Amino acid sequence: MQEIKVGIGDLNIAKTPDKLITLGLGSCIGIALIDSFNKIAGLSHIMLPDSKAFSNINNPMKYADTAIPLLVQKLITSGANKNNLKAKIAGGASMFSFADKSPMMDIGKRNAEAVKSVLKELNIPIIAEDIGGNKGRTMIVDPTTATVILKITGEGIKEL
Amino acid sequence: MELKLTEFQIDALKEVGNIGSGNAATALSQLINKKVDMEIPQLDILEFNDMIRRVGNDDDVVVAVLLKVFGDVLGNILFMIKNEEAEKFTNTLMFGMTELNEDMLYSIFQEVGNILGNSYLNAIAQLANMSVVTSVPSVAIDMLAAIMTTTFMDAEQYSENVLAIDTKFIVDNNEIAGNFFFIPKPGSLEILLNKLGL
Repeated sequence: MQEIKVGIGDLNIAKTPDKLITLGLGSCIGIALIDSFNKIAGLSHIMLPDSKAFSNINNPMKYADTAIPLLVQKLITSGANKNNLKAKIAGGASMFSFADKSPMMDIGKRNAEAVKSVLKELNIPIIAEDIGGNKGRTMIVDPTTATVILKITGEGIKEL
Repeated sequence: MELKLTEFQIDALKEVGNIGSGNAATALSQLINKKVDMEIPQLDILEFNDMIRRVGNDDDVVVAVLLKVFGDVLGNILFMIKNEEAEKFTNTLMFGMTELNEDMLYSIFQEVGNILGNSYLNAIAQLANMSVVTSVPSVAIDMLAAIMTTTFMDAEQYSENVLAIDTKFIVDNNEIAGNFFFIPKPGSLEILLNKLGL
């Protein structure tokens, strides 16, 4: 069994018995797409909601609207069935709290909204989520059991 | 980062960082009554993952204090200290007083961040004749990657490469080390250079 690391603004896929891991999601969001029938999963670590706000895109894996379709494509190429894909998502925290925070500036919240709308457009159901709060999360995706394990600083381990 | 800086400008900004963090080191030294050294500040435009690696591993737990900077320049000030170092730090600061609860810990680091951040910023503001203020400090104890991504995104540093001026403090010969970042919003460095007449 291998644990494949997904970096920040990165994505990858794994087949049973391998797993995927991404460390330290803050306002970023981890999107796990799982085909439990074919025991294959993908994980994307996005940082920003929308690539269309930028003129110069070097890394499409950073943005929700470009990363998720890329991940789906990669999964299909590797033998997943699009109709089997189910999503489990985590992240989107506000790590620091300020009294003067305007909701427009809450990047974690905007990321979550963008991820949900992209998944809806692609007809991929979200079957579990752990979004918001003020704690960072590490996410481990297991295609064999179709589970996602979250490690949360100071709070311990949670299964999605 | 689209910003193009000349060697001369980079040196000038490093010097600004030097004056700022020198001031902050003095403040820290007075606070804990120990000798505080600092490394020569670095001005770096790095790929995101490299910026994090400079400090530690993605999932290292750090105590972080964030101050937002408002006024003539905009950005974030971030002070980070690794969890095990933070314990030594509070022991020094509280003169061996034990039984610190979480609220007290947050409060201590809020104050430390406040003193460091404002002494850093005041030095720069005086030098460049600018007016800047900071927000109330906010403390988080969490994974390094989560802290740094959030702080850089908040400063609108969205591009592949991010910029930061950082210094490492060393207390009593490497006893406690912390990292100090000033992360300007895009456009703010140009304003600073302009005010300095560069």
